Amino acid sequence: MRIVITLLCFVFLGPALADADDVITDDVIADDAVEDVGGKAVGDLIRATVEKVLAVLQKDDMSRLDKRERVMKIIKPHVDFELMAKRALPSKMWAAMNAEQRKTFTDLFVETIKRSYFEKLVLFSDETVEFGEPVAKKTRRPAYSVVTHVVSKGDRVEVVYALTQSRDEEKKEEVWKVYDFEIEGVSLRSSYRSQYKDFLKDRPLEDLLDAMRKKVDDAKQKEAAEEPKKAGGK
Amino acid sequence: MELESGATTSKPSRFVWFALLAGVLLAGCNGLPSRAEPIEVAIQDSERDDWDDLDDLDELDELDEDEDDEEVYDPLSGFNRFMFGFNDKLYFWLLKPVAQGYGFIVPEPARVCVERAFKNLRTPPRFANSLLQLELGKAGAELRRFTVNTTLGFGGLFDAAETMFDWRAPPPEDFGQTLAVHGVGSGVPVTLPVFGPSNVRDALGRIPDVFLDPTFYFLKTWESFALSSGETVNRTSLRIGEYESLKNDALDPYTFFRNAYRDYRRKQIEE
Repeated sequence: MRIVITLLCFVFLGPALADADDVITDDVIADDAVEDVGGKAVGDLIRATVEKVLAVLQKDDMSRLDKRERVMKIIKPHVDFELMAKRALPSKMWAAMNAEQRKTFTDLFVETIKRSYFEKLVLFSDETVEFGEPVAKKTRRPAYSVVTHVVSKGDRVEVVYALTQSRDEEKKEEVWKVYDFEIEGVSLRSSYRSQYKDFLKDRPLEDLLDAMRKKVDDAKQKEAAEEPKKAGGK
Repeated sequence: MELESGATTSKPSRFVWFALLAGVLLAGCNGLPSRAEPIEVAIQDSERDDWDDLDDLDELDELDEDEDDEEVYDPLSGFNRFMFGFNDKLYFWLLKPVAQGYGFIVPEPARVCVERAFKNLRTPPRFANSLLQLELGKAGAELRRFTVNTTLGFGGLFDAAETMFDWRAPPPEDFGQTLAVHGVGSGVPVTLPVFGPSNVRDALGRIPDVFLDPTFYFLKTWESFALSSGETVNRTSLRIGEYESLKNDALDPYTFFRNAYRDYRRKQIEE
């Protein structure tokens, strides 16, 4: 009997005790009005961009590759690919690379994540997204993280975007751009970084670039083979 | 439904085998993974353009809270890689075809309901572990969701708790997390057959969760096994493509999944 009462207490007091939904991180927002402006800009940016992307993904009349190109166009101005690429290598490695190697690596890296990111998106294409409030990160350089949840087939998958201010070459100003995102706690940037670091432990950079190039080429071949079949819709 | 052909060991004895193996490992190994090793990279004798870039790097480092250059100490990597290969084949040769066939016959909405029902059924271990971690809010959430979903949600097929009362599912707890919360280190990475990447603590932690699940007490072993298999096939059928996609991204799939599991687990423990 006592057990039943105790359990019933959980049921009814639960809402008062529940803190499961609160995401209290250590990155508490600095009490700075300027930060809030940044936070708001970041939040709006993520919301608008994700919704645009979802709209494209949900279209029935576009081929997969067309969708991907469209999505890339939407996100391109808001993602700092170069920064992502820079951070995907151990810092000492990046410092030792010349300009040409950096460019090659960045291009290959972008091609790689373009495909991998898009693949993931397609898997979640017909779901809704819930947006959390941007939280300022405790870093010297201003940065925010935005927690979102993709509600997919009864599961809620957490996707966190990390943004910082980067120089936009076209607009010639500092804008907020995404430099990393995490899916369920697994950061894209750091998962690539640990693989590349492992690879580079006993192999030279050129081998890594070759391996990346090969993967991208294989993927392109597969796409070329698929395209004729997919022409005219999914 | 025809399922696995090979499994001859009963569930409890399978776990006993793991326990023995893990015991041997714990005895032999130091157990703690973090060992910072200097990064050894084959640096090309390339010409450096901008020395200014070095200044950039300091600021960039600031962006990474987890600039962990820690090497993952993986003494069992030979065994783990083998297991990874085994699981990979198991997925492509057995689990995926079965899941696809099942998915072809059963419409997706039904399968989503089935997954919810299974999640509901597995509430007791989550509830117990939430209590053990003194997460009373979570425990309460699990309990009231279970009550509402079992009744109003037709045995868990529908998430009435969320749709009617906005009682969202709290992050799931398990005994491995309970151990972690109480200070038990993760131990070295271990890849388990069937279950995939894990570590010593989490692998052993699976055992108490079996005993915390009421179904263990009134189902025969083969029935439990069939139930879990069904659960796995159903869940897989809803997620076909995810594993392939992740694997495809990776230069070294084994390392990727091993590290991803570590990061994922860290997040789960923090929640």
